[in-house]
Amino acid sequence: MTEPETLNLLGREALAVRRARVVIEAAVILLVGGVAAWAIPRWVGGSVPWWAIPVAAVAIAGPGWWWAGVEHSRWAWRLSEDLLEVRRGVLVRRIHLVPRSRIQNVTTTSGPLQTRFGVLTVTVHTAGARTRNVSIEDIDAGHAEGIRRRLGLV
Amino acid sequence: MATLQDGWHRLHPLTILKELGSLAWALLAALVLDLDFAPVPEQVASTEAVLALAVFGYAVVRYLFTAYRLTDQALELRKGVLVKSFQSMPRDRIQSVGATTSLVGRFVGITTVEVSAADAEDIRLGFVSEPAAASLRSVLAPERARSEEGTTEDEAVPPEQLATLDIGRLLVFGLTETGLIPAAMVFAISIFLAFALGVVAAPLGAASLAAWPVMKTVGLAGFRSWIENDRVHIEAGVLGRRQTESPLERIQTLQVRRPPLRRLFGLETVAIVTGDIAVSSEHAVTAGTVAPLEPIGDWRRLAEALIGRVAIGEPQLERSSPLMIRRTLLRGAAVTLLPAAAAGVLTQLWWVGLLILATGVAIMWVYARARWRVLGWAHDERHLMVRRGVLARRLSVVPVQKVQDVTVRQTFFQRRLGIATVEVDTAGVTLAGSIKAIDLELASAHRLALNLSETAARIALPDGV
Repeated sequence: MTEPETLNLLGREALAVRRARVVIEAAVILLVGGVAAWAIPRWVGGSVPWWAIPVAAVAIAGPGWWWAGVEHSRWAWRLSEDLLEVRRGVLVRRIHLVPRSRIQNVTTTSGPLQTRFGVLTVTVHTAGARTRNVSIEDIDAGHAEGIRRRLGLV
Repeated sequence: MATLQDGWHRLHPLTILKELGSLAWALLAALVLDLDFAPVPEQVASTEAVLALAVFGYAVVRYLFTAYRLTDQALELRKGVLVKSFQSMPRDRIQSVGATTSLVGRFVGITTVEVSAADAEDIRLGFVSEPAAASLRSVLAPERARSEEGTTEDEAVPPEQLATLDIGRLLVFGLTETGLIPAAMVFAISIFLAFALGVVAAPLGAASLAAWPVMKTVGLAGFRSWIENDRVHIEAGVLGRRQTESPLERIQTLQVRRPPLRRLFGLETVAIVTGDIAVSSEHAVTAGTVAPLEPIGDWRRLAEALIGRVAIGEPQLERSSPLMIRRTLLRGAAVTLLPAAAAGVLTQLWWVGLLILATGVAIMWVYARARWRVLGWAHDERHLMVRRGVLARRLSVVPVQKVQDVTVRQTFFQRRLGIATVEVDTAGVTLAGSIKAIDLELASAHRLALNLSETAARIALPDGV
């Protein structure tokens, strides 16, 4: 057997992308909250202490930062001669086993943030009526290319 | 039926009436009855006439722009006036061909043909004349079947009868429909209300609950199913008639349904699941049914004809982990806890809450035991068999070659108990729930998932379906 069959974990870039998303969400909360904290008291009276918004942003971003790490550590995948296996999930854990002969096509997508960090999402489509596709989110672009090549789709 | 250049065919001209829809019927009624409800100002009347003419004109143009043709490789449909569309369905991807003829259609000789493929939009050709529908059905047969049709009479394989439903058994089918149980209960209560409180309309309302089981039963009148040229044919209906045919190789799952009343009489219903919702869906009257009423165990005969001999049987079914009972109890307790606490707080009587909790847990315990006895799974190199359902029991038999992917799923509670559920996906579309082996020991779940997916991987299908 020439193909490696060990489980591959997602790389550091995947974790960086996930945490970058958390930071962006926190920044958006900070921005929207700041505008609201400035505008609403002028409208209805009263005041919001200046530190309330950053505290709220950190209160949301802190658990998000930690959760991104936990969730990232649960992702794993391997491509053997017969199967593509994808493991994921924290509260509900799933192991997807897709026979290679059932794969209809493979899609790769990447958003601006993913492009910046050199990762993308690989989605494997089958004709299954319920689980039409299985995705590996934020996989390293090199690995994604390798998957596509080994599936004979490049 | 107008034939155009390059083998393109137009639909039946009566399709224009269908395009007009309810407007056509309103116009027809107005013409026949010469309706004149109130004086209409001349200006309004002329505007209405122009609008009606425009709608009619558009329907005619739409009809003229719609055409279909059969090539050696595909069925093609072109349509659209402003936005044009072209749909091509490769013949080897076709899951089923259905024909529906309404009562009026039977008089005028028109029918609607539906052609379905997995993972693609259906092609609906309606109306077409009956000869055109028959030629569509036969020409859309798989290449192998078509070549067989060209063979001599001696070599032709005679049709193999699968099941029929005479009037007596149709009645038994209707009376053993699960929907009748709540309808009968509500009807009994409403009769009591009618006598005790004088609510005369109550029984009428309750009787309407029986409408669906009755409609389903009536829709199965004249049912027959057979296999011909490697295709399963299903035909049912007396007033409006529905015919469906599906290549045997497209059957994704065989389902044996045993609703409580039917089980009581030792009967079962056998259905097929394909990638076509029209064949498989639960709310279509035939719902992929190949044998509406057979003695329990007769599914093996049908399975042999439809998906090949099934070597495993219900006695070989392995049970789920006994820990499943504990999980069901935990779930029951979690669900009952909130209403029990609310009742305790509201009544200020702690024992009321405790009583509700105890009753809930007791009911769940009985249910969990019954469920544990019913749930089961078995598989060999060729088939996977899964049994589910405490009241409405369902046995699913999946050819392993039809497995698309397998998922091992563990919720928080399952992880604590060391059990997991294996979900198997095929290209079959059904509303009757997924194919699951529930609450297996984790090691067994992994073994089952790996065996199934590796076996499926070794079997190459021409188009993966």
